Amino acid sequence: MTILSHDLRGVGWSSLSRPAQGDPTDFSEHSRCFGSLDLDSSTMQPKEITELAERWSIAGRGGAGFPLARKISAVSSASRLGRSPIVVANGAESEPLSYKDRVLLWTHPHLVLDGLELICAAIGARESYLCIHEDDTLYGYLQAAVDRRPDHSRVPPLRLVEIDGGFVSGQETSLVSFLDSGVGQPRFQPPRPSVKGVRNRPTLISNVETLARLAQAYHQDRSGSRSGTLSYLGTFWTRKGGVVYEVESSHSLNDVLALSGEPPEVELTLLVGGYFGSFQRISNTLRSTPLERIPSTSLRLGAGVLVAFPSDACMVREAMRVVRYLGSQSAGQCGPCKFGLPSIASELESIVRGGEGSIVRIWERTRQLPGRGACSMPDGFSQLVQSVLHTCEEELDDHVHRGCTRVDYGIIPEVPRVGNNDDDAVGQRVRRH
Amino acid sequence: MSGGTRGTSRRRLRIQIDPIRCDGYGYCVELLPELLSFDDWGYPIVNHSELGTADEVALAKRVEHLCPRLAFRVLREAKP
Ligand code: SF4
Ligand code: SF4
Repeated sequence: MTILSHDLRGVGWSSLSRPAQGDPTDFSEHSRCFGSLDLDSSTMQPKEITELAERWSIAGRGGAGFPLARKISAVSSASRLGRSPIVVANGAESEPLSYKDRVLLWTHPHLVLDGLELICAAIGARESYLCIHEDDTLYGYLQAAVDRRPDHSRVPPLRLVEIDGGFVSGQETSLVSFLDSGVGQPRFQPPRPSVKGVRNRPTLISNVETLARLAQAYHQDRSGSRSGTLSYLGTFWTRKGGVVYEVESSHSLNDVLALSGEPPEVELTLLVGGYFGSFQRISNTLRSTPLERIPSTSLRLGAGVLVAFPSDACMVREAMRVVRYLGSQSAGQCGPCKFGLPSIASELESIVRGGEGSIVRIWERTRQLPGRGACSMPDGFSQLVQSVLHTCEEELDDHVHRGCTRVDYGIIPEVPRVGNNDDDAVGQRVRRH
Repeated sequence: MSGGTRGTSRRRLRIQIDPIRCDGYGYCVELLPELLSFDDWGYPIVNHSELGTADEVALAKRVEHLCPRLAFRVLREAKP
């Protein structure tokens, strides 16, 4: 079942910043292909939209996988107290290895905007935002797409916002704080953004792919299929580079691995889920199992980032770069995160360099982190580091006792690109429509 | 746990520490060592968040007043 009109499967790395074909900002072409929205319909109610999201099992594609229907219900019931809600489309993927949201915005801007408008109309939002990474070309491109859409009384004004910042800028509460003050720092929850978000109003924050999937479900629903499963996007990296892929849940990891054009490794190690995911050795059974039948405890794809390492790769050095980057990304607000992350990162680094670091101490410290921050940074960090200790036991031991003879392929970059302007990671600016 | 009687009301009292506010002064850990401990960096870990005995409730309320950063809170929740 190919649902997106342009098949993103195997979009080459070099073409990531260009539309697949035609002019995706052209609204009439988009509606010819997908159909248009009937926003006047009396069924444009929260209940209808949550039912649609439920029927098509739409879950957050930003990584957390939270059911969209529950989010919509939470925001619409919070707004029953009289405060009109705000909808934020999050296209500022903060996972350094993820490019799927940018590709989606380039190839299907109107599908994302359809989804955004559907939710706005259904819950009666008076304002909406689309957040992206700082990128002048994409900004202008999306502005053109927005300008080509028809006005409708139930569609609130949309503000395009460019965000530049570090890893935690994609956290929901830090988006809220960015939109409020221009500085993106996570906030202690509750209250959740669905109750008190931007300017203290009930705020629905949704990943752009989630919105596009909702729109897809809506269009398919209107053309007669009442339910089904939708495919999803991810970014796949090998030593040759990265591709944005689209898979269906009946596909397996092998299907994704085949995209590299190389025979997959016999002993396969993956980084699953990116910087907030985990390193895993993948068994042959797991590799060929359809994704829909793999329990989330065995494989947590998150936003679909997969990195495959050659079997002679030095996993410890690859992993250390992930850990070191994460360790530098604490927003410095919570003690355990501010001090814990760098202390664990440098402990690991010292082991890798053959120094005095202690694996036992790393274990003990990672166990102190879960639940200790205002955002999930310490939890994600802890899980990632523990996965390194599990997966790379042998290599770590070599580093401590014998010296490592494996190859450092440098698949994980020294300093990851976040956004498209590499040089000013601290400067943040907002541009408003 | 020592002393006091178990609360029988339908509300449950629970400790919550706002990690952004907390600066690790540690009054909470000093006064409630059975519920909290220090981590490797000197910040409090909540090992048991639910307040059981009247003694614990009284101490926790004192900490709520003492905490210089207003990070330590006693939350009232309806029992599930
Ligand atoms: S947990 Fe870390 S990243 Fe999150 S708010 Fe606290 S200091 Fe910032
Ligand atoms: S008393 Fe307050 S500031 Fe001090 S450690 Fe406890 S919670 Fe943190």
